[in-house]
Amino acid sequence: MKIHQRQDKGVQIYEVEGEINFHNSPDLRDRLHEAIARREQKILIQLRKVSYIDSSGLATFVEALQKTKKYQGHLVLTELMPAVKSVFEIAKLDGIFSLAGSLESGLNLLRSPG
Amino acid sequence: MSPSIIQVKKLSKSFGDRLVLNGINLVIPEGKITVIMGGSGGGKSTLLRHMVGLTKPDAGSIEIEREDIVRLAPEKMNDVRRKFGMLFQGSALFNSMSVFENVALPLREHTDLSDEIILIIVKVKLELVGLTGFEDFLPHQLSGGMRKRVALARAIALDPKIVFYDEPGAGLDPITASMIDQLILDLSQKLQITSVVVTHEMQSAFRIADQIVMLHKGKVLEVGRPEDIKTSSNPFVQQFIKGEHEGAIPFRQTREAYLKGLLET
Amino acid sequence: MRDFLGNIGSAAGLLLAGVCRLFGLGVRILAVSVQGSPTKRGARREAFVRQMVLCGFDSLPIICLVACSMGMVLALQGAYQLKQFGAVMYTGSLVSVSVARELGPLMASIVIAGRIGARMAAELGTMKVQEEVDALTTMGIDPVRFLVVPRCLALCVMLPCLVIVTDAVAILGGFVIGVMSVGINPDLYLAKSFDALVLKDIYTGLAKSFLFALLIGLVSCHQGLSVQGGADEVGRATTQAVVTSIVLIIVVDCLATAIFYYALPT
Repeated sequence: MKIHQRQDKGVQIYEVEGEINFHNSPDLRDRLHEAIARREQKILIQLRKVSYIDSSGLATFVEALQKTKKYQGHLVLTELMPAVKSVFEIAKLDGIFSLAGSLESGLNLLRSPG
Repeated sequence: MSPSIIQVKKLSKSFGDRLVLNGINLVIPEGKITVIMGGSGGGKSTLLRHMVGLTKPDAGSIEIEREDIVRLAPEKMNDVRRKFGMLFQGSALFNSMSVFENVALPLREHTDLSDEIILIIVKVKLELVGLTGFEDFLPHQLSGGMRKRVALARAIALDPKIVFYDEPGAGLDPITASMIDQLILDLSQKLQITSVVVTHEMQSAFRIADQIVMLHKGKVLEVGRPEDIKTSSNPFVQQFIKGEHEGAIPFRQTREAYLKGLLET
Repeated sequence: MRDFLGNIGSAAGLLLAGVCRLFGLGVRILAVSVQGSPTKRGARREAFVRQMVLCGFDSLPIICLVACSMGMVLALQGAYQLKQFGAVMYTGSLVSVSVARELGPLMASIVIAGRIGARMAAELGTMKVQEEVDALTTMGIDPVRFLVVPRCLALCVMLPCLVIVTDAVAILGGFVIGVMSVGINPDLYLAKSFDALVLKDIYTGLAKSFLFALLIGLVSCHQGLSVQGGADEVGRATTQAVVTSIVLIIVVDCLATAIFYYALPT
C-alpha cells in the first residue's frame, strides 16, 4: 500500500494505492491521524487504485469519520472500485460516508457550503 | 466454473474398524457455496474436520490454495488457518468471555490493530449478524440462535477467504436459520467468500448452494448444481431429497443381524 | 500368576506412557513460555492475573483454616509426646520445623490440588467437550499457550506464596495451643520456634511447593485436555486429576526430601 498526499485549495487529498489490509491499515491510520491532529477541515481520500479493503481498513475510515465529525470537519471518499464498494455496502456503511464517483464531484461536495 | 480453492484427493479415514471416509475426491470452487449433504453418520462432519485440519486422515491429501495441509508443519498450518473461519455446530463460544471479547479474540491474537479499531470492527461484525448492542452480554445470557450468530461474527472477524459451517441451521428456528442462510449468500455474493456448508436440511441446501455434494457411507455419491441433483437418476439421491424412509437406502438393513443377535444369545 | 505379571506390565506401560505425555506437555509449555508472544499484549496478562487471583487470593480462607488446625493438632500431639521426656518447651521447635519442611508444602498443595486442580480439569474438559478447544485450534491459537500456560504459571507463582501463609498460620496455631492449653511461656515458645528453624527448612519447602504446583498444573490440564466424549468423561478426568496430583505430590515429596536432606551436602 502506498499513500500519496497533496493539497488542493484547502482540501487535503490522500491517494491510496494497493490493498488495505490488517498489516498496513495502522500506517494509514497514522497518516489520517496527522491530518486530524491538525484539525484539517476538508479531507478527501481517493480510492481508485485500491483493489481490496478489509474490515480493519473500513474501521480506520470509520474512526477517521468519527474524529473529523467531532470538530465539524468533512471527510469524503472518492472513486471506489466495485469490490471496495461492496465491502461498505455489506457493512451497511455506504450511508454514513460521503461517497463520490469522481474526484471532481468529491471536491464539489467538500467545497459546496453546508 | 471458477478456479478451485480446496482440493481433496483420495481421502480415507477410519475410526477403529469403521471406515468413515472412503477415498473422497472433491473440488471446492473459489467464491462459491458448496453444500455437503448426506445422512447422519455419512461422514460429512468428519470430512469438514479434515478440511480445517482438526483430524488427520489415514491416507490422501487436502490442498488449500495449493498447500497440502495434511503434511504441513504446525506453524505453517497456523498461517493457513488465518485464511479461514469456522462456525461450529454448538457455537463453541468461550463462556468466560463477553460477546465483544469472543469476537475480538482472533483480532487481538493475530493482528497489531489498536483497541479503538478492534472495537469498530467488532461492532461492524455484530451488526452484520444483527446483534448490535449485545457486546457486553455473556454467552449464557443469549439464546441458541444468538450464540450461533455471535459465533459467525467471530468466524468472519479476520475477513477469511473461506468459511466452514457445521450444520449452521441445526437447532434454530426457521427464521434465524434462514437469516443465517441469507448471510452466507451475502458473504459469498458481495465479498466472494468461499463457503463450505455441511447440512442435512434440504431446503436450505437448495436455497444457497452453487454446488451440492452428496455423501453416503464415506463416498461421494454425486456432485453437481442444485438443478442436477434434483433431477438426478440416482435412487439414493432421490430418496434423500424426498425424505422417504423406504427406498434404495434400506431402513431395515440390520433386520437379519438383529434377529440373529437376538436368537443366538 | 502370568496374568498378574501381565497386569503389572501393562499398568507399568500405561504409567510410563502417561509420564511421557505429561513430560511432552511440560516441554510444550516450556517452549511456548520461552518463545513468548510478540503480539499478545493485554489479553494474556489478563488471563494470567485472573488465574492468580483465583488460585491464590480466593484460596486464602480455606488455606488458613487448614493451616491453623494443623498447627494446633501438631502442638497438642507433640506436647503430649514430648511431656514424657520432659521436653515440653521444644513443642514450638517441633511445630515450626515439621511445618516448614514438610507439612506446610504438603497440606497446601493437597488443598490446592483439590480446589484448583479439579477446577482446571473440569473447566478444560468442558471446553473440550463443547468444541471450544477445537475452535481455538481453528483460529490458529495454540490451546496450550492460551489455556495451559497461564494456569500453570499462576499456580507456580501462587502456591509458594500460599505455602508461606500456611507456615505462618500453622506456627501461630501451634503458638496459641502451646501457650493457652499446654501452658508454655510465650517468649520461650517463640524463641524455641525460631531457633530451630534454619533457612534451608524454608527454601526447601518453597522449592518443593514449586514442584508440586507444576505437577498439579500439568496433571490437571493434561487430564482436562484429554477428555473425549461427554459429561461423564469430564467427571472422570476431574477425579483422575485430583487423585493423580495428590499421589504424585506425596511420591515426589518423598523423593525431594531424600534428595534435599540426604543426597545433597548440607
